[in-house]
Amino acid sequence: MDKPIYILGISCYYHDSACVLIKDGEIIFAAQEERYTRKKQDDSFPNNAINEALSFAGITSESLSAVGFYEKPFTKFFDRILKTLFKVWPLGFMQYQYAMQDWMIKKLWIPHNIKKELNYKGDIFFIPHHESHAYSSFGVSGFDDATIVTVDGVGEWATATIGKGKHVMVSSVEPCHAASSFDRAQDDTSPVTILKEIHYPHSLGLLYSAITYYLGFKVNSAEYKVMGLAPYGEPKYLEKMRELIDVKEDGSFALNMKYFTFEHGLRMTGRKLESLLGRPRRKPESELEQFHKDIARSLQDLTEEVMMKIVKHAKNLAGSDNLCLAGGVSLNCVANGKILRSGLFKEVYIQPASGDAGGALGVALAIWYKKFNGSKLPRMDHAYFGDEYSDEEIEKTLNKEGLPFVKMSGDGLIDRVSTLMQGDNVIGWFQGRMEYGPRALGNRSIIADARNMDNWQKVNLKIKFRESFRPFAPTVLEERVSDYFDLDCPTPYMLLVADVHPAKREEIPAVTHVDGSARIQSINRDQNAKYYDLIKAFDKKTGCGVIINTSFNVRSEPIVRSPEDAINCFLNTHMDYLVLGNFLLSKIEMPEDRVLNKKDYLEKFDLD
Amino acid sequence: MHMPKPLQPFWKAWCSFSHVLGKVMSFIILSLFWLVCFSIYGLGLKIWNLKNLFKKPVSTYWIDPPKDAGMQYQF
Repeated sequence: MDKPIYILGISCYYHDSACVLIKDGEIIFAAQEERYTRKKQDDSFPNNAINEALSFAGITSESLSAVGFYEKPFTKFFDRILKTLFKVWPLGFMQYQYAMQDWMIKKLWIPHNIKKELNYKGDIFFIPHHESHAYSSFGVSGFDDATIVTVDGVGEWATATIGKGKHVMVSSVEPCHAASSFDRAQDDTSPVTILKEIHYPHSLGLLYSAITYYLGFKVNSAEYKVMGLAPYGEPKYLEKMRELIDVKEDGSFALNMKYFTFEHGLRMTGRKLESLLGRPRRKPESELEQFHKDIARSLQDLTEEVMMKIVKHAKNLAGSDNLCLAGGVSLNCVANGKILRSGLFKEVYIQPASGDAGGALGVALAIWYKKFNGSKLPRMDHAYFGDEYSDEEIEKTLNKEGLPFVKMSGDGLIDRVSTLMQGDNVIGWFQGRMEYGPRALGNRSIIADARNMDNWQKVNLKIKFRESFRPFAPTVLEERVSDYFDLDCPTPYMLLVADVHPAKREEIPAVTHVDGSARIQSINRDQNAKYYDLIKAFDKKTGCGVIINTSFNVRSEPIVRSPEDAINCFLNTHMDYLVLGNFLLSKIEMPEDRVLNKKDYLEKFDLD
Repeated sequence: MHMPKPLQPFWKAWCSFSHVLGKVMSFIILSLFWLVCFSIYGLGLKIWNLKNLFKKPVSTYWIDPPKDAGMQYQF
């Protein structure tokens, strides 16, 4: 019998380091490094995640058939970064200093670093950044063919691409068990072909990041806050923003670089943008005024407009009725919802880790398809690929911590928690394998009753310690999606926004945003039986098939990974109950000296 | 490396100092490189790019992707 093919994909050194391990084409482990180092969007080499992946598979690095890195470092440095520095000369001195030191110390030595860190001696492969994104979506979409659109800040040169995905029938061909020297990219059987691209500095992702910076939020981190702020505003600055970007009918665009400083400076924008919009940049953590909300709305409308034009043109070029989206901009679920509702495509697939963490999956899949002649994979319809803790391990941790708890049976737990959820209790829900990607989808979640409007502010201000304007997402039973929302398809990854039916908005006010929309996660029993059963039980008791689901963390903290992380978060916030596997902890029973040292706890995390 | 306990604080101090020294030296060397090499090439490029001032507006910003050297290469 042939040895299994293990492929390890790695993304790191920019933001959101991650690793993905696939075995004979099946994803067996995927996680971001931030969950281990407790540093949000950590960019360091994902040593911890890789060790966990290998341990989960019960192998060592010697068993790896191939390792892949999610971009082409030499192209990025020698072509794009150096050329840009030459172009902007005599500006860009400080950026030059940072870039040269950073690249010379670590980023130019990626094969060396991988071999050293993993003690690995086999093949290492590299694919372009946007091709990683394309594979990360199409490779697990389950489509035979698809139009592929990837949009993000920047990879090597590309900032947006249009591609075509097509699986050639290779079912009669057995996968090669050694990486082939023949590269399928060089012939027409490669499943993904990039057809067109737009190059740096013209970038929709960087435009979004630049305005995020102008609004006083953290770049490469808080873009989602701008999206959440937008519904509070009016698109009053849309016309002014058109000065920032020239958009053609085919969706291609060019930034007006006189308003941006990211090519040569350490800041995203300068005085010219402030003059155009009429106000200086908002200081971080200062008060948000109506002006900032209007700016956020104008940017969001502009982004949606450009994305719609891009996908229309992409369909003309690639010709498929299925759409695969990837790249950081694909986390803009409002734009995604608009694309879905346009009816341009029969089906839209967005992989849950569609930002740079997903690059690790993309390169692993590219190696599977192109180097090992791998067969088409089924659709990835859940994201539970991370660490898991047994009840024995959880009980050991609880005993070590000396905290009182109740151990329950599976059915008893579901019944008890679904009762506790009614009203104003907020519950930390820690189960099974950790999610891959930026969203908590029911295994590392904070949950509460969506019918109680007060829960919105309670969770925002007393549990997550985050800005009061930020909305919460609902999880809804898949069979009840259309009862509550203007949507008739599953959305398991919380990556689509749709309107709540006007008649239902009063029923679930805690998850209805100010514009009547919601960022929806649907759930079925095959995806996550325990979480589904909980909501089903809640539905039976209350008639409401929707709950609040937000990530299990406080502001700026990575989502919890281990029972220890969950206990820390529980003890230092106003959360009422914690469920760890089959164990239930109640805040009122916790020893007084163990609760609410929140100041020390929060200081551990840099503000996002 | 094994270091006798009494020497460890000196070793740590030396390491910290060498780290700072390395940063300073890198800054100086890179600055010289910037002034000499980057200035000459950057100036030349500025002159060469003057021709772009007469470029006609384009009807689309989409371009064809560059040819990929293959997955085994970093470029």
